[in-house]
Amino acid sequence: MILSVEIAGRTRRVEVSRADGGWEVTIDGRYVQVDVAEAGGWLSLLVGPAGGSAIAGPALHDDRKDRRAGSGEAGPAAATSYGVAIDDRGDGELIVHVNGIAIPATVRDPRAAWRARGHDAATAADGRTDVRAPMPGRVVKVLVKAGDAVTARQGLVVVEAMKMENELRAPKDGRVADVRVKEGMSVDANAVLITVE
Amino acid sequence: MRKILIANRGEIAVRVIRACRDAGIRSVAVYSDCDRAALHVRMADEAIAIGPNPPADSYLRIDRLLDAARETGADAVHPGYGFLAENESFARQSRDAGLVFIGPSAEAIELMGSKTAARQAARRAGVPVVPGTDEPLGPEIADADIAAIADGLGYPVMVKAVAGGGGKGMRLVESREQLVSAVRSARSEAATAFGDPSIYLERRIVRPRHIEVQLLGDATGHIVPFVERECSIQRRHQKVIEESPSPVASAALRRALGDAAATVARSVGYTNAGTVEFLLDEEGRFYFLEMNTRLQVEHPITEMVTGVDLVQWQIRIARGEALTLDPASVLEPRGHAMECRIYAEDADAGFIPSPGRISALRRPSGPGIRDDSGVEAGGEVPTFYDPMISKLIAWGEDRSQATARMLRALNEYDVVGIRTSIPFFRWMLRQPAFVSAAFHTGYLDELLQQRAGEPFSAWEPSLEEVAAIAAALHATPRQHRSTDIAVAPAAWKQQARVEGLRG
Repeated sequence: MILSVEIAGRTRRVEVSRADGGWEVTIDGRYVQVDVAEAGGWLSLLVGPAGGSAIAGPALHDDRKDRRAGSGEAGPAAATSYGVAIDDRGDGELIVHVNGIAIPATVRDPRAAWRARGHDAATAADGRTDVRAPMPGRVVKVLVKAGDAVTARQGLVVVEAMKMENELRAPKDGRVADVRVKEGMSVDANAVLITVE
Repeated sequence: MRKILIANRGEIAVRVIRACRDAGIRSVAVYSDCDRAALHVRMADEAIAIGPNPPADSYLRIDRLLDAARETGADAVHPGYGFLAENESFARQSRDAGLVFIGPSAEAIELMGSKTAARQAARRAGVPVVPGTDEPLGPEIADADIAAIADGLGYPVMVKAVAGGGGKGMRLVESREQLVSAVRSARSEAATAFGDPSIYLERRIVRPRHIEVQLLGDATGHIVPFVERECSIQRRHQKVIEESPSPVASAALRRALGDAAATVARSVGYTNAGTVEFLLDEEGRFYFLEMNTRLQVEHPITEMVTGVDLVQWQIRIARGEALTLDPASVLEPRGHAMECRIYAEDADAGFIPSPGRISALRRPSGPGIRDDSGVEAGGEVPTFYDPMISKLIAWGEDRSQATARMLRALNEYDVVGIRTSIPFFRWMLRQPAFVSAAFHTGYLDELLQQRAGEPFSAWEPSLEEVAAIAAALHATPRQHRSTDIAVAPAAWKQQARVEGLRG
């Protein structure tokens, strides 16, 4: 199974397959071995060194030893231990917690992405990005109007929720295409407030 | 006292339930609709519904809380902090209903609730106050008159709500042009939050530190001040990290602060737990700021460096017991403690609230760590209330050990399903100015402005690779797995064992 995983703007090609009860993983052409165990909603990943193994060397098949890029020696190779939890937001959007650090990742099946490419291209060409309400709340202030030029992270609208005022900012440089809210309006979670193009 | 109704929710309700259990007193939790399965409800001995989700319909409904106390046969009520904790009407009506209110008298709450009356009380007691107005400026006072007062004080000035607290209705005004709009917005915020648009002005102390003194007072007029807390790490006037002792307080300053706090409290006949807040200027002079007539969020750090259970003492004082604490021992810190307020907020997206379901939770522990949390895995963080989910407290023999332990605990802490302010704290504790304690109340806001929204989350490239692998394993459809991944290690080990025997 080959997947593409995008993290912080970088896409990696990850191939995973079962082997001897563990997993063999090729990430951007490099081979690693991964042992996975589950513990109460958490995953324990033991990741072997690049080209090495997560378990004691002498017990390995010869063909596996051959794959150890450059390591040569037959002694036990230490695996690095990672505690992992996955917060699946749906649609391939994940927040992967590795050793307590939350790393947002987007995972795609490249073949499915191939089929969907036409649609993606259209969205990209259009270039409109919606700024949505992160939760139900009340619009306290609208800081821009349609047609305004905005820069990335510029404040667009202030929404009050959970007793706090929150400024929602421009996702990118551009122009305000549409303002759909007025001050004092109540908005639902995920409602489109402003569109930037 | 046999049964206490806790008129609050979240971590502070849990904290009070624990104190009740230690004292062999039964506890009654109250809950709104969305809090039915909340941790405080499950931990209490009894629980009773008090209405719909909005605070105004449940946790702020004095009539329903008093009904709940009557129906459950509670003989005392603990208000926690926030909600009705500093509402003199709640204290008075509880007393009138024959309940023991675990806190100061309604009269003391009312007096100190007016920030201008509190300033006058401090001045009368001979404690220095920040130069400013001692009378409330109601909505009838013309902008021009307020501008004249501000001119007299000299800019920058602070505009503050008379009924204020928690940083609400507070504005910093750098120059005369900003004054009118600041007064207007402070008035409107104060009217919404406290039902009183009155404001007052204070001269802005340049780069002050926020230092406060916890105290306890009993019914005989005996007041005991504790070693100070420093709460200068603030975001938009809200405390974010607190520590005790203050890294800059000498023994002489500590005694002077304790004496000043006790003098103010004594002058108003204060009983139970309270906190006197001061500003410390760059020359080491301190000024009375206000008095909080309740248990503070940050009370655990005082407990850690003195070994005193403050909530236990609140109950004992309310029961009529005399304070038997040794004043010298509670003024002398044992080691160093700090607290991080963990919020359900996405720090990387400008600290926007992040309510939702916590799907998994790993809480830190180990030497010197205390986690006062109000949530559990599987629980919801509702949108209706303050988004603080936990207070992480670290104790060490000195400040550097406390900081190291806090960082270790922050790295252990993992909340899955919602975003939290934990990445911010991991970053904050490594800032050189934090490490050297060279900060003031405006320091964090200045620092955040410089960062201009740059995210706090950071990771090594190797972690990113592991995240990519985990994401791919997660996304691999079941039919591509010969067996569930949970079974994998056992099978792999067995295979290795077989091969080992063969060799």
